Amino acid sequence: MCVKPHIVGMATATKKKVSTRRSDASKRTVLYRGVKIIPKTGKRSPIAKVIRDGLRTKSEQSHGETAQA
Amino acid sequence: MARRPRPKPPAAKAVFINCPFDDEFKPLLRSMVFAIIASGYYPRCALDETDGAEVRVSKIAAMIGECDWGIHDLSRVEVGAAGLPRFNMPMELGLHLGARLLGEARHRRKRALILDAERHRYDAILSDISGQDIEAHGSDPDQAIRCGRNWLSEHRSHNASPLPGAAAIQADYRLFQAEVGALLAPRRLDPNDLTHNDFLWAVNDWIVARAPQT
Repeated sequence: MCVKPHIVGMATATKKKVSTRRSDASKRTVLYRGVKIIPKTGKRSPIAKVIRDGLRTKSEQSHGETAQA
Repeated sequence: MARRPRPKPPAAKAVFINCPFDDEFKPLLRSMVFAIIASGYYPRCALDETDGAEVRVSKIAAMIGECDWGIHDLSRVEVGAAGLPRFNMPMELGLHLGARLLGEARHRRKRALILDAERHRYDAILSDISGQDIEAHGSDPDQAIRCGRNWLSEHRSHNASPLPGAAAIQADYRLFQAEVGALLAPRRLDPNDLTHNDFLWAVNDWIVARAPQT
């Protein structure tokens, strides 16, 4: 059986995976009042996660209010 | 499988804090930690290893070696309930100065800020430290922020961006306390109840959340 080379190429080519997960903002260097803030490393406890989520929600709400104004 | 070691902050940005870890001192420690993070540095202290106070001197020495900056608070060397003073803080200051004076070349860039409650009290208890950066915070968290921020600012490289003023960091700290306090209130928790590690995360996350607005 004769298999055309371009068909083999199409069948075996691996598709590049595109990550849709957003990176955690707290793991990136941010600028605060003109100063680069070093991201913290390590594991968060459950209460630290609650604080992070609460602060994010508050920040998003205040951005929404600014956009509406 | 061996646990992967946690990445450490660069020594040029790491500030070792040598101070008491009891509840009475906590407001001063936390205000200093906030000022250090808001100034773009990374606070390190014995509480990084554990929230108990029992850390071996070898670990303390290793941590001092990993930090170019050190804040040493001698405000609590007075005689305690047992009738004896505690020497841990002066000893850790000695480790820091020893590393700078006798250590490898990279330790010679180490800087130390020595804090006391009263100005010039050290003359009576540790006169050998004359000539170092010595400041008094009067046991006031606002003053502790000012001392830490001004010292970091003074020794910053000339091409680094200027730090926010002490008044701005003090105001930010009050706002942080209010906002994190409001988040914890429904859970009947007080910001003072947070462990050291949770407090570090809270400061970091608060700054990240506020950063786009600054």
